[in-house]
Amino acid sequence: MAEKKEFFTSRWGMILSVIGIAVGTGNIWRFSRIVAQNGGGSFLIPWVIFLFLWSIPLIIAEFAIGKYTRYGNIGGIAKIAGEKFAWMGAFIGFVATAIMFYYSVVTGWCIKYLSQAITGTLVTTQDHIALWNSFTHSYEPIFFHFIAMALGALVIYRGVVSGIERTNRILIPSLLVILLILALRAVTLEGAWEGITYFFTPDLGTLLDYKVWLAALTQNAWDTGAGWGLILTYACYARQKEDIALNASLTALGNNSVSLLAGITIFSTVFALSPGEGIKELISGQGSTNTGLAFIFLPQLFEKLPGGIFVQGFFSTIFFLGLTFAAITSLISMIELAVKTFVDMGLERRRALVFVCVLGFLFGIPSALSMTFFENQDWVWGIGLMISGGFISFAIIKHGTDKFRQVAVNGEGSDVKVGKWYNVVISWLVPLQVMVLIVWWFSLAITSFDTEGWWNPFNTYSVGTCVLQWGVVMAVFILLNKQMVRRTLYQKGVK
Amino acid sequence: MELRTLLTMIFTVGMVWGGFLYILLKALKKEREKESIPERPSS
Repeated sequence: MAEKKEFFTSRWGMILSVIGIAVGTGNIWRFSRIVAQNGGGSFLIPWVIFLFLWSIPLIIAEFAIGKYTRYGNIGGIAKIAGEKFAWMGAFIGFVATAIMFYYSVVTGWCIKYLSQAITGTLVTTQDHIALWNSFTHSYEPIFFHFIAMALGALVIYRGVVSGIERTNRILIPSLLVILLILALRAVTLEGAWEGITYFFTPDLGTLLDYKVWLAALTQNAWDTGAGWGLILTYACYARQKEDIALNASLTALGNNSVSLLAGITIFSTVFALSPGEGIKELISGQGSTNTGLAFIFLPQLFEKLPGGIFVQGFFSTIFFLGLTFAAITSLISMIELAVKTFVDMGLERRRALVFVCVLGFLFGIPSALSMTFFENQDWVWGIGLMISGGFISFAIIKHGTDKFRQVAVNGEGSDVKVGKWYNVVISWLVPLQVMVLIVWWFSLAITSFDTEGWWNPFNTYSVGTCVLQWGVVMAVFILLNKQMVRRTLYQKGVK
Repeated sequence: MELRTLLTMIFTVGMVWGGFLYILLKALKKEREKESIPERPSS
């Protein structure tokens, strides 16, 4: 039976949904930590520059491929780059799906901490490190991973309009309201201005440090959802009269606006409630890891909020509610990407959903049980995203950059035309950034993360583990290329 | 407040929040223009 084609009902429904992809836990926990570790204001300048050199061009590309081809990653890349490169689309889709396996676990953590904040356990806990360790070393994360996957499945089951669009129409504005309430409370704390000043003060020496620029580029690559293939998937459901350039810019700027708001909130809170020690903690203490900042350091700070246990409970609850909303809106896009891939191959949508969610739950269990496994997957597929960005750029070059710009980007529905600058950025600057990032992260693995065993494929943060896992996945998809093309592009009755 | 702090604040907030608002207003204007054009039936 032919699937009923669904489209986002309005521009705003689609933009909120795409912002839902981009805004995730990384905006809240990773951004502030990286800003602190890279000299505060010195980081913000390259971070803004790379928004225009990495995020916006790739988001435009994804919007255009999805809307132009109406296929997910495999069909989209095959149509743009040629059928023999369909495996690249499969790799892009696999990277996002592999991230979904452990991102569902992360969403589960947020739900668990939200429940603890609601019940008041969080603000009455004496030892937050012990609380976190006892949780992550138990079987509980599997239960919350299941809840996260089930919630995601429920949204996708309801379809594009009643599920994805409606959920994002509620959750994204709610998230913004929550962040605004938190920001208002944070900036009105005594001593908050010190934090805001640190956040915006650049240091010329740090600004000239290439590592700060690479950290800013990495943050854009991981945080905005550009190059993940997720926006490409949602763009398949864009109406024909939908614009690309303005929508892509709104997505990227909306995402970074949320990061900026979260940064102001966290820096104000840290400097006001933990003067002197707070920033050291953010740079090298428990807050120096993503999970440490959100699940150990910030809950400690909530306990110091003036106003008593009710106020502390209220703010910790809305913080984890916001974090959960951010995580769920991103998780559903990852589930939709995988479902769309199988639907494109001819599988009925509900069957595809059950298959993806069962698989997602099972493959997420190792990350729920072992932080080492979780960290390895985050390392391998986090760097894998940069290859995904490179493959999207390659597909456009193969298609003909100027032809792609004129037909797919500036085609029907475009409100503003993208100029020739786009050809240079997507054909030259994006591939250059991909190469620089991969070399940089591999050099860090060799010189800093794992100097002895960087080649060992069984070490957590090694070059070997990336090469092995990427290599296996690419080899399988190259072998299956013809079958994937046949099933995606040449099904019976479908062009 | 130091000048460099103020300049970074203007640059960052201006580019990110200012840019977002500018594009949002532009999109709103274009959307109003499009409202009068009926959607082409999709295949």
